[in-house]
Amino acid sequence: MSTPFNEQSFTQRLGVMGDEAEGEYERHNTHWVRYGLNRPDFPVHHLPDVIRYTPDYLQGSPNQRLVEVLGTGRNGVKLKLEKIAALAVWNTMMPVWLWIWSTPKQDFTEILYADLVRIINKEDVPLGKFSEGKAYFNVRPSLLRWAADGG
Amino acid sequence: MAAKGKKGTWAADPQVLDGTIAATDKGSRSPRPWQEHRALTTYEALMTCPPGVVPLESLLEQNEIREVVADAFDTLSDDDMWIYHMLCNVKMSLRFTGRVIGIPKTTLARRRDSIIDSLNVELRRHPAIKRRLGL
Repeated sequence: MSTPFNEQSFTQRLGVMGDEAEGEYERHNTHWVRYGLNRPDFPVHHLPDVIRYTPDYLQGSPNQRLVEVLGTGRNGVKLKLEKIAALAVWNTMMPVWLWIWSTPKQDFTEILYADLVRIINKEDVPLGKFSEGKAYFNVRPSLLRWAADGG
Repeated sequence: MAAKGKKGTWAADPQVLDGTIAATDKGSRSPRPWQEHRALTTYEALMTCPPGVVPLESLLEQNEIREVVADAFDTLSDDDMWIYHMLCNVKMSLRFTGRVIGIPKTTLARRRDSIIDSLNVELRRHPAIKRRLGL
């Protein structure tokens, strides 16, 4: 029998949320192709950050954009600092959007990379460290405009 | 940002780097700024330039300067490079970046200024930069 969701490790929960979020992105959007790495069967931690954090999707319409899909729980989006730094480089080539699926809300929001950076700079987003020592910051769901709220 | 071999041999694609260092003067006004890029050669710059307008420098004409700038960045420590990247490329605020590394924003601002000063000194030492600045 599989382990209940709340008893799974953080990495397992993150993986499950990521899969769900990507499924929802694909369901809610059209004209997309897979772009970034999707759990390749080789270690990726020695790859340059910009390659590791290639956005998940390239979307051709209604707007041409690169899309990074994230899943979130009740406590908000946890984003690695190194990911946001790598996405800055992608954002110089094409607009990068973050498409965020909330499992508890069963709702999504999408935000331009530059707007997310604005929120991080303006709000006191809590900082933390994952068990492997990598810094992350946490964007509360209330800082984002969800689709059901007209966002 | 780019693969770097021995000094003076950047392997970065100049057209990709152009995205970072503001490619053309019309990039920000274009609906698709990523399609605006600097011409590869002097002739291409001339052919794509509207009549009566001075053509932008081509990528080939800028090659030497790109190497010099890349070498100047290479003199920074990893920490300074990270600070520069977070503040100047990622556009994180002094306050947020200071919280990440646990130093006050005023201290970080001084460190940023000293990084920029050291880049300035390193760049101005180079003959290609002196020529460009008419020094």
